[in-house]
Amino acid sequence: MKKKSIPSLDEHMQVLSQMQEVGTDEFFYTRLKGKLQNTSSAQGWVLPVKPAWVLATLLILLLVNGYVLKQEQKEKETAPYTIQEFAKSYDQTINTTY
Amino acid sequence: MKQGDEPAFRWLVEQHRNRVYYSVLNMLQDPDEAEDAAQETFIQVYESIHAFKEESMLSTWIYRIAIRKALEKIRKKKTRKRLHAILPWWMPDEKKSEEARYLNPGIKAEDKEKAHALFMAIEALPDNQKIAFTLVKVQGMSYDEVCEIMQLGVKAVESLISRAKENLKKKLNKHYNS
Repeated sequence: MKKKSIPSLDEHMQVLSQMQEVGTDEFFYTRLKGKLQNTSSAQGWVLPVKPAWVLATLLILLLVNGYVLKQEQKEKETAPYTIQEFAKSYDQTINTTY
Repeated sequence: MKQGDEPAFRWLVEQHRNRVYYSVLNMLQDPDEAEDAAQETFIQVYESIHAFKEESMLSTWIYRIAIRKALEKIRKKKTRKRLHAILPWWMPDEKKSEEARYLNPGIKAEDKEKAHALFMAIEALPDNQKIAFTLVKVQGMSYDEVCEIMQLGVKAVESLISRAKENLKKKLNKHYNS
């Protein structure tokens, strides 16, 4: 089977000579004016930090939270038995009368 | 215009809107993104006209802003792509099919494949090479204009274009061999 030849860079660049200059329509300024007004009215509500920073901070807080919870659980598991827990685990809490 | 005169701003927009739009469209290859970038360019011109020191031509200053806006859009697009790879359920995929990709209306039907391959390769170039190549080879700006916009010497721009061509050759070979 005959292998398909790869066009050279010059052949590709010839395509650029066919390009037509494209512009915007006549209502570009109207849309721009609308956007400009929206931008100036929304300026008071601009977030002081980038959303990426907010997300990263939240993620760190969640990780710290998870770590603390895990540590607390570990501590609970290794904590010494109280007398009541000891009695409960050996079924010594039932009152018997002789 | 520095005094906030609206008719003067309108005149300025009317004078430059098409060329600004065409510049960013050539870099972004997406008419919606290009419209956004062109609007953001003029908003920044309006907001920071007092900072224009008249050391260069006003048009050069405007194109510099436009190129920066287009690069911001390209970076945001790359970030969205990376986010899509990590969190596909959160970030929708923006990958367009070959048919859906923008193509300049002047390009003949039989050259569509070549044009797509070329613009995909240009998209993958490093930022400085992409700007220099797009402005000189795609847009047809003079070296002097591009040097002014990029604030570089002629030799530096020539070197960027020559490296861009080398990279394009490699990328096109990879495209056709894959």
